Amino acid sequence: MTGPFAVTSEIPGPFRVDCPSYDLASLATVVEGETKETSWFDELEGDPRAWVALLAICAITTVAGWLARRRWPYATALLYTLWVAAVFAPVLLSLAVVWGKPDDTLNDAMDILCGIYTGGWPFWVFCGVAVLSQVLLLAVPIRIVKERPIPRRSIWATAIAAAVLFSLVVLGVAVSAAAAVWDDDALDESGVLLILVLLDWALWTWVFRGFARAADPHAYVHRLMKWLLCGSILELLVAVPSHIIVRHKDVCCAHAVTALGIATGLVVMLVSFGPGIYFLYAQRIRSKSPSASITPE
Amino acid sequence: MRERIELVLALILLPAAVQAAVEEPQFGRIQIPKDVTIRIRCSLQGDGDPAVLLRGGYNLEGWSIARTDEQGAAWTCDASVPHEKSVFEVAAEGQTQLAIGEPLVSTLTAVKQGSVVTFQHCLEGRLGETISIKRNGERSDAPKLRIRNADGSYDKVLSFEYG
Repeated sequence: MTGPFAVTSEIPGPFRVDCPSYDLASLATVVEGETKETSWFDELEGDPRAWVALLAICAITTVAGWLARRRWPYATALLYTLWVAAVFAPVLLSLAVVWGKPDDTLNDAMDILCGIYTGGWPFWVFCGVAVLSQVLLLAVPIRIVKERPIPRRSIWATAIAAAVLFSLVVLGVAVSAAAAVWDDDALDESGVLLILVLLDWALWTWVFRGFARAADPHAYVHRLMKWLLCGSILELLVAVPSHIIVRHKDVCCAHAVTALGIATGLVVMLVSFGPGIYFLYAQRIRSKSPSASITPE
Repeated sequence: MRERIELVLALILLPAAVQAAVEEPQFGRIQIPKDVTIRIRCSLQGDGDPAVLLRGGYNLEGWSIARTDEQGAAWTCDASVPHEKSVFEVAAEGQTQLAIGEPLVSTLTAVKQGSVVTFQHCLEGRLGETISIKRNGERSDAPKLRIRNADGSYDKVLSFEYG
């Protein structure tokens, strides 16, 4: 195989296009530095900052959760939420984005992950919202377990937190379906979307607050969790097919939107287990407690 | 007698009236305040003959070509004219030529780093328009890159990616 090489472009379609033929040697601008051959190991390496951030969050939350397991059962639930929001969601989102483009590699996933961690406030706001929502969702279960009276503000806090998570679910369903129908054009009206999210949040806060009037606290929490779980399953039922549809189209960013739908669906699903985990912890601790088995004669 | 004269006059004037109606452009009137220039959007489809426009400055936002290929697929080529190239003048005398439409201009650039060569492709109009080609309403397949050597022992067609 000998040179010189001629390169030319070919444009599909019935339109007349001037496609000049170039001599490769004269066309290419030479840049200093050698490019090493890539292997599967290089693919895994990715951006080292992403690995550091990922491993640091994993280690800190795991160790903190282990240390806090005895005195603060619900702290474990909070750390679990942080882990879900800070590790599980971005990893899942990165993998889903990469899976949305047939030619993307694991290296791209690590770049996306790094971009999520270092990309500024939106991701950390999301983590903060997820953790705060979990804290508020635990307000009623903690009082139930400790057999304390439940003030109205705790009911409101739980309703607000559940509404935040459910708004994320509704948003995920809406944007995933929109991305499947309108591709990249679905991203055009972000201002309108923000207003809709706020209205959606207010609506679900009102609806979830209304649940408390007709049920006892335990049933209220159970009902909210059931709604969140069903909502997140519905979101996955919409987001996953949308992701598959978008994957077969030539799009710029729509696959990231559907990936976001999948990630938020799974995060809300796992966060909705938080109060349940707390109840399980509380039950376990109570059954192990010596005072519970001692009965005065 | 009077009715006959009116009929004759009508027959004489009718062809002239018809001819005037055909030849005279139907201009409407619009009052524009002094020293104010208005920008008008309109669309014109070329038929090969010169189009008649009022003399003055115009702002060309874009152009498009619609075509059907042999398989019956509907292709559209939409061009957005860059702002700095969008103004053209129509003078009372002479004919304004617009460098729009075909042929489109395809340019390749390449960067060589070590043994890796990265190609970039750009499709523009002759005024530097941004071009969007669609097939049946969907973005058409990405352009191809063909690399050949002189004796033909190496001949490969690669595909670009949008983005």
